[in-house]
Amino acid sequence: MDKVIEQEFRGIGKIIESLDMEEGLPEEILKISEQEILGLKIPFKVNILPNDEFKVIVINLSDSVKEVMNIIAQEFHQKLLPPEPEQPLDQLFYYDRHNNIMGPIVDLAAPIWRVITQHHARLKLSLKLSLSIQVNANWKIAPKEEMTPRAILQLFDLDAAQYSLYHLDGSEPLPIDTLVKLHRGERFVALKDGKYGDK
Amino acid sequence: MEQSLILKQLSEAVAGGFNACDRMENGQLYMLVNGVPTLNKDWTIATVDILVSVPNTYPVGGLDAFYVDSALMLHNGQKHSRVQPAPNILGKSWGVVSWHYNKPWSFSDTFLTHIYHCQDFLRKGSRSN
Repeated sequence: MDKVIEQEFRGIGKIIESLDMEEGLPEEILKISEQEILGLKIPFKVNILPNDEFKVIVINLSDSVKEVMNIIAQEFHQKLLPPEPEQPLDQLFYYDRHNNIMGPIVDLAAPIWRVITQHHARLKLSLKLSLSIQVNANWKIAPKEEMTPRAILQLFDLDAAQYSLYHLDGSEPLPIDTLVKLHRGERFVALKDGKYGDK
Repeated sequence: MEQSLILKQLSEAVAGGFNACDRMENGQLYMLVNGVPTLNKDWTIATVDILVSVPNTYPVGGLDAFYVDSALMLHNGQKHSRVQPAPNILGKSWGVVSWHYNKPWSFSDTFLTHIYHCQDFLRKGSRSN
């Protein structure tokens, strides 16, 4: 059992000295009003997949799923992608009572309290960081760690017959059928080749 | 011209790291982009302002060519042969760059992709003389 000593919960008038994160929210908390619950801070076990190592962090139950994702990412020195104001392509998973990983949680605006109570979930969350890449203004999840520029253009609905792909600061177009090793957050430019003279 | 589309595409260009804004003069809309990295040591300056004329029919009528700050020079002391003198616009001296698309403008092209296209000219430096 994971213990968090002297965790004070405002609204229920007592100090809960221990909390089992392998269970859902304690009965004492579920009995209080939603308004009071939203003021509580609760310890959660969190990790970043596929890493098995969990950390314990304290999360405000009123935080949205997206805010919780940000907190977890920061805890592991990561940043969600794509950056604000876009919605992250990363995903948050929860665990049911039998410790099965469930999700991803789709409604990123929902308070984490609602997710936990609706699904009778454990106080345990896993963040999956996607292999997000950017071409021009758009972000998508790369389906493979290595892709050809032709496949990358296709992923972004761009015609390889019309566009060349460059690394953001690249000086030469990437060979269209040569595999490129992709990294999370990698940025590319797709542009139509230019020519001089009359149109 | 769809004003909301113009604003959306300007926002995209800004999110893409470019200092882009819209300007109007004599009924003509322009996209002004300050401080575009020139990406090639052939140029005497590391960044340059560019100006793009936006047709009234945009986006059906696409963007084409661009103006570049007349201060853009090659290290050999000459201007690029494809940059020709242009009239003052927005109170500033420009050169017009005869740089066009190999393929027709399409709806997947935007202000941001056009900036990249213009930057491709800069990236080539003197190579394309």
